[in-house]
Amino acid sequence: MSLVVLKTGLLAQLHDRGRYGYGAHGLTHGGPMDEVAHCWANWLLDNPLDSATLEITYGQLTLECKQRCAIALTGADLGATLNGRAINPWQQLALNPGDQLCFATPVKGLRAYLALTGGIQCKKRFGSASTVKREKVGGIQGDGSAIKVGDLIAPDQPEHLHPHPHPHPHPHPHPHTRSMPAWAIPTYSNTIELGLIPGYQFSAIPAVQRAIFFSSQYLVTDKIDRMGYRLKGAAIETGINGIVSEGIALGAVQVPSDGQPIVLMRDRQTIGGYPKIGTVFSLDLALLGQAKPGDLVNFRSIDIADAENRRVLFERNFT
Amino acid sequence: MPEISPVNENTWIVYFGQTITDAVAMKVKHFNDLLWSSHAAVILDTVPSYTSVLVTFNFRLIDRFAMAALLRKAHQITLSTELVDQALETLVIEVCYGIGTVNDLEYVAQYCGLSHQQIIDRHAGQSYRVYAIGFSPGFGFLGNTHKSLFVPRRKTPRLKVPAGSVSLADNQSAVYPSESPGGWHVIGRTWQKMVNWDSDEFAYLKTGYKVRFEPIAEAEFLAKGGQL
Repeated sequence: MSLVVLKTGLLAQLHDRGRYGYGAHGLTHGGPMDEVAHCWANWLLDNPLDSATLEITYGQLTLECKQRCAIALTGADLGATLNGRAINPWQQLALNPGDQLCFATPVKGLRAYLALTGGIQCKKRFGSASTVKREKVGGIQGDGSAIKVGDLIAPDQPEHLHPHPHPHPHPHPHPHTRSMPAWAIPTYSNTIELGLIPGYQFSAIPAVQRAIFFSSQYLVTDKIDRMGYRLKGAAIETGINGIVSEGIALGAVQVPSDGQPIVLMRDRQTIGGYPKIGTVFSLDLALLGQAKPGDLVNFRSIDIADAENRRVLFERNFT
Repeated sequence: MPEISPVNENTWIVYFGQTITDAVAMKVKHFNDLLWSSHAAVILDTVPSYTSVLVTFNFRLIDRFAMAALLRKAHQITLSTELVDQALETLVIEVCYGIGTVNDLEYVAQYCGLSHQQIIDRHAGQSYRVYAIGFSPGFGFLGNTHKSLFVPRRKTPRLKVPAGSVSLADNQSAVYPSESPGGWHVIGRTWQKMVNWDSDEFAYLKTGYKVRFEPIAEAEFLAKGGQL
């Protein structure tokens, strides 16, 4: 029930749904850049949604199966092959010892998610598996390091901690195979529209500047990471010099004095003093997490009630 | 700006004022403590800062409207509570001033037109409030410093500031909990650990607490495990 890492690429990290409850200590939430793909990967294997998955950014990762196991693959198409044969994401796969799973480079999207039946084993820090390199927390060893050559991707086996009368509750991969509802598979386009919930300093920003923001197309620059996506386009003059530093929510759109928006992602700093025009809706943020330099982004104002409806409907998929 | 505003489908921000004062800081702390003592079950996380608290809630357990009502009630309780500066133990941080290679004491002395000793006396001669924790885990924003110690951030931040560096920027002071890049002026070093990664208590400093700096000699700094 495990895989060994033969080769690593740009970045592969473990993530569950994030680390909550330590914001007052300055710890960020972390979590999958594409939460939608993360959740479906776990659902395909009937795992709890908070189970750790492997977030593979860009590709160039090779894994070898050591013991028979079931995995699920969702998110970006990174040109994956199984023993040299091309495979599509958004499905469950049974692997046998010796099988090699290789990720090449992005075909569509940027990040793929690999789930393992039972979740991936790791040393949780502050209640979470999510890897935050700069905070030195999360990942297999719990020290913030990314996946390395030789690492073992093994299932979480709580029975080791709590002796269980049935030592092998999952002798075989999940007996019934779940498959993705076709409507739930997202398309990753090079032009994306993001719902923005107006908030924070929104009403203090001049109406003309807000109109520029919503009517302009922004380019995803090459300054993108798990903390934030820097965009480039029509400058927004907020007229606000700085604000008293305040808590930053997932998806908050910061507008510094150069007027170029920065969308704050999973590993964002907890507090900040730049004005913010609002917050990108979480499920749309998952699409931005799949965006690459050169992609184009538009913002559309959405009501918080719409965001709430879409979020509740999304969660209902898994109950 | 409304005092209680929605941020996204599972986040609200609650404001207690627009300016940084002790009275506002006490309300922030009272409100944050109240949320965790009375409503921990539905709260995922909070980020208390100078004048506000960002609240993320678990929308699987409570809806946005019930959460708004709960926040309004807690906000009202905080506003109507007579807050006295709680006799919280003042946290003491022992500092050896002016040591190490990353050391801006001389620069600060020049900029402020003071002697090294005057800077030490003024920095250690008052207590501070932890207004916020952020930037990096356990990094506390301590205010406000004596007016004569105001010094703007370095134009070019350093790529590496050692853990334990006691520093100044504008009207704030801080201790770097771990080695990180940073643009504050370093005036000393503490041997004390600002974060304990193996404890759920984690950070030595907590928002709302008071802090005092105690000057120590280099010999004592080294004897207590301080490293240069």
